[in-house]
Amino acid sequence: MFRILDRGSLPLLLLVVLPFAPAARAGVTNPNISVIGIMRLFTTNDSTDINHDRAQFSLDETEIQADAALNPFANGTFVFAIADGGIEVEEGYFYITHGLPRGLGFKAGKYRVGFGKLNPMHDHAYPFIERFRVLAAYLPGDESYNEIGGQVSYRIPFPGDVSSILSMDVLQGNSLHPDEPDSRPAWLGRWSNFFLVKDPSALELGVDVSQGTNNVAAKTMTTLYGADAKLKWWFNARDFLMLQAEVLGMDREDPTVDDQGNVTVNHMKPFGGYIFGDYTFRKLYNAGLKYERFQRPEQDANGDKPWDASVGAWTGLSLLEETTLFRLNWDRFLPKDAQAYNTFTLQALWSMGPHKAHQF
Amino acid sequence: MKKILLILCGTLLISGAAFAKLTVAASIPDLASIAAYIGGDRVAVFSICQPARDPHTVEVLPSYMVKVSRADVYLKVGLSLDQWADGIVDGARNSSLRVVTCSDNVPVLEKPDRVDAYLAAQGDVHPQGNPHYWTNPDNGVIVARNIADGLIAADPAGATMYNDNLKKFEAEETSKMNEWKAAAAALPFHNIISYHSDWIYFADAFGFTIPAYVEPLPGIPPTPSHLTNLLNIIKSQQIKVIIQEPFYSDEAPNYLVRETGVKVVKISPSCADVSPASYFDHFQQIIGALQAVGG
Repeated sequence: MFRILDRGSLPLLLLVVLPFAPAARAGVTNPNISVIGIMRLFTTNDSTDINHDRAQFSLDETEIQADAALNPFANGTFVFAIADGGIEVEEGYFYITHGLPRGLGFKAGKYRVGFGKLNPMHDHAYPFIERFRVLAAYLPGDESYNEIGGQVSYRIPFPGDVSSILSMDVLQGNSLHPDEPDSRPAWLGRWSNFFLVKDPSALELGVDVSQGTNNVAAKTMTTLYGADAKLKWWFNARDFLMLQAEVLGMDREDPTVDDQGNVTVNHMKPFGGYIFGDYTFRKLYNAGLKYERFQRPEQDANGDKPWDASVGAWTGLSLLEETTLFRLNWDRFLPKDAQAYNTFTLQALWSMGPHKAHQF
Repeated sequence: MKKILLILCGTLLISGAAFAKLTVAASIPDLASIAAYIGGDRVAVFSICQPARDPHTVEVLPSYMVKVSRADVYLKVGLSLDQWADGIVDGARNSSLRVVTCSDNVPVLEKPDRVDAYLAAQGDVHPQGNPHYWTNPDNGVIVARNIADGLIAADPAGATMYNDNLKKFEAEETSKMNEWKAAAAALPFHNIISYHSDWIYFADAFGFTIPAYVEPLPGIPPTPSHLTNLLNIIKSQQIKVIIQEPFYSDEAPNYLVRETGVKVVKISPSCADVSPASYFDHFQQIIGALQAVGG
């Protein structure tokens, strides 16, 4: 993430910025501002956790989101994440809404990259609590594949209601080589196809490929591949079932340098994926199950890539959409060569600010 | 021969232009129906939200964006009911789309006295006032005028027809309102309960009073204590009917029926389809359903 200030500097920042803010003009309104708070109470029997088998509290990242129309042609969004005593710009981007040739879209700034279905979403929007380990293992970045860059997208003019969008992102690429300050652009290509099965039940299928430099000095690359599917089936106006799955593959060039400075490149090619189902009923409640299985992007002593897996289940209660939300989550991690462990989590989420429209 | 071909091409071009209907998208079927009435055969209309769906919570689906990408005009409800429409309009990537906010000039009911940080304590309250204005046919006339203005701006060649149809709409509304008001006045009851606060304009138009809602506050499911309170209200005020929208749970209304014998009229605040007659037919349907309860 892009850290700007520690918590103590925020009042000073406001004092510096506000006097220079343009005076409000007639018809110009403030942006929509939302604040989302999340806390967890959890316990785990993971023996590597210093507080295992004890109840632990955690105040997760607080998010402040501001969005507004910038002018008749573009909207802008900022998401600030407050955690660990600091404030960071998690996302800050604008996107063109009008003025481009029909079908074209453009977006630029810092954003969660659109690889797959879950990476672009903020964690609090998941029906479960933690993001899948396969995404943490394969996608760059500490919490998400998040980059500065720009995206051009084009909606292919198919007949009917099918939405078929090709997009291409050019990214700064630093999350692929975080230990090196050099800039080497990365790129992402995605093709997503959306079908209305029976309005409003729908199916979305997508494929992605992304590539960037993982070692500037050795000029080695990491290439990521993914395919995803999401089905949302409405039984009536209040109850729906969501099924979602992704498979991911990686081709990571790992350089080794001998005493003579000769570089040998080995290819690490793990793959894995996840699947989950979530049933929302009466608009208030949801319950779900998940499973993931993936190869670790590293070799064991035998030269094999170990398979890890996890299973989980959850249930949730949502009062007036996401204004106040409670989730109870069970996760069991099944590593190949270590003891399996369980984590039980009770999460509370609260949000203030205008309701956001529901995305698919 | 060349002359004949030129004339043929010219004729085809002109006839092609004459048959290029204006595509009108609307957030709800009622706006689409009014647009079909005003626009006649110069327009092709569709609605994003279907009649049996809750218009508060329509998802921003890419397929809706595709549909709107081909539209010339988009009719918004406004008053923060269909904020999802902004996502669809933005995602449509249609720079020539003309957006008409149909709530313009509508006299709005239930405007909050204060719109501040504690508005949410009153439930899911719309900060600009109650947005379900189309359930009063008199407001339908205002909507029709807004739609006519929008269609004329998008298709000046059709102005005469749109204005003529607007006058027909106004005349038909006046005539039908007299019938409906007389029918409503003749009912043996004028207190009704509704599930959500989306019938207040209808009540205002036809002389009904809504002393309570099945929801204790907008968007909040009924609690046991609120249901007890409703039982008392139904019995003391001899409420005969609950109007229930099809996208809300049957549980609380069924309980009230068992305990008090009150009748439930399950009907959407939106008309059944986007045909030109549908908007007016819907009020006939509602009045007819209330007459059936009244005996």
